[in-house]
Amino acid sequence: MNKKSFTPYFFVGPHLILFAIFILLPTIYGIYASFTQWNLMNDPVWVGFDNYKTILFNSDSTFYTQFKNGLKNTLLFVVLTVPILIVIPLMIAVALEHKKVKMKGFMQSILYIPGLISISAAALIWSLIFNKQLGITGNIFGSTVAWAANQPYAWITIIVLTIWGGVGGNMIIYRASINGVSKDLYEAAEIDGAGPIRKFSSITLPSIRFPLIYTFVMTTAGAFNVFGQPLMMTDGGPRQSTHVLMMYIRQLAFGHGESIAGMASAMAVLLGLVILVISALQYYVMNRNAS
Amino acid sequence: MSRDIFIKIILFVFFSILCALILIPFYAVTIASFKPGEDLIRYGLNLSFDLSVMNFDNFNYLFTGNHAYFTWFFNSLLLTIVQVVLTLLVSATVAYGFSAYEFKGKNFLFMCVLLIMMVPFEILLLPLYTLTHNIGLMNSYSAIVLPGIASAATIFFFRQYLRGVPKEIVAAGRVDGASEYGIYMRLILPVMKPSFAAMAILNGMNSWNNFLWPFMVLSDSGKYTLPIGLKTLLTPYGNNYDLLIVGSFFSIIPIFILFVAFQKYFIDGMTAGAVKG
Repeated sequence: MNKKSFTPYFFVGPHLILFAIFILLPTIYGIYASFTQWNLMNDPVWVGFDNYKTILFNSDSTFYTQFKNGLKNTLLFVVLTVPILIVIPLMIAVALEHKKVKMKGFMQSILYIPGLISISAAALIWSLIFNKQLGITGNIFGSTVAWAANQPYAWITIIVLTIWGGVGGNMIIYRASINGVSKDLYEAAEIDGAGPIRKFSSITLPSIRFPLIYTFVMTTAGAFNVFGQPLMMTDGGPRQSTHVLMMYIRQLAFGHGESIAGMASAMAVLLGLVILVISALQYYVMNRNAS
Repeated sequence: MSRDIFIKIILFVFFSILCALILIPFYAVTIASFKPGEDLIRYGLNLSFDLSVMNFDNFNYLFTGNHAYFTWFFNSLLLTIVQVVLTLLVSATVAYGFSAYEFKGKNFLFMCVLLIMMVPFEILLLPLYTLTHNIGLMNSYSAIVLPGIASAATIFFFRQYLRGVPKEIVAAGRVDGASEYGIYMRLILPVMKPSFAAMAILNGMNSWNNFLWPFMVLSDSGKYTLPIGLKTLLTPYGNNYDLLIVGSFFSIIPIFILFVAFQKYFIDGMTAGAVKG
């Protein structure tokens, strides 16, 4: 019996070792580093809550302005993209279920294709499309705007790229879950004379509650981590109005001059806290309202 | 009946516009990959299907030209295969350990694994970078592969899948006197095959497209992966559009072929965690 009690650890052991070395310890060290002055090379020097105080309260410091601006832009990105990335895929999934739609599978494949390609390839294609001299917007629609250098166009390019790449993923999840809803429910509702809107709100929505919460939480967490799209489309411009928090964090740690990794870690920890709190809140609110 | 036709038209228009919006960028880049780079610079990216300027020169240059594209391509391929094989083996084993046994600290450990999924990569990025530096793994593929093996999402999917596997299989194996490893290797792994396909594709896609971490670790251009290599073609001194466009186009092809061939598994992988909850 004694031999058997060790067996589970042989199964989970190899992974846990890798997990501890490459994920858990760096995470703990990252949190520790946020309380230090650190340039990535020398040993960190403990400074207590100084980094956090500077970032949150010292309005003279550039870190304060960077954090504030970065968080503001990140929040703006979240607010602008997350609702669209939930509502449009849901609409498409419901529309695809309509009896009259032919080639459902084919349509679904097409919508998912942008999700397959890397952010660098996608950003390359879209920045060419929006390019003032080279782009389709200029060539075909006669737009003379330098999209990446003017607001609100800079945000539009980022959002278009994000939605283009992100619609398929959630749509596939919604479609699979709508498919799992019992057909009997819809038939019973039809006999009772329920229209399409009533069927959607009373049967479809409650039945796919879990996938909705899941996609909502995951999409929001993903949006808070936004980095690639603004980096490649606008490089944070114009006048840092699309400079998201993740870009400041990377800049502080790996930018020109000496690394300010302690400050960067503190910003990363704050961002992580925001994501955790918002995810927990979303989960709590949606779960409670639904039941 | 006229209402039916009306709905039909609405749906048709809706989906036509949707497909057009999705596909136009692909169409544009496909067309551009057949046109000379000067054409792109002179007339811009456009949708005109003009056979008189279209040719295979870019593809010819891609396959025979003096550049590192296929070094990057095969680096990416190698890295993706190694990453997928190792991640799947380790993740399946740990998922089985979590689902088949009761042991001390099990729930706590599993919670840890899941909680880390929520931590933004940037928190561990800086320490991971110093760690990699200190243990001398900079500029090596191990530095890219090893942290990725601990994939929480993959473990989660496998564990969900194993919930649906009847416990009788394990019990029957024990009655037959098979060892615990024998049960896992000979009875459980074969049953898990469909979930392997889904996770292979999901992990393969992420690995093939992975940019940030390899970009920080690799410094030797001979070791670059495709996404990094493509980015180096974008220079401040003018871009090598001949190679850039056709190279981007060609980097999409392997994933696209996999998607068309194994679409069912892509969808299984995408929805496994969300739908079966």
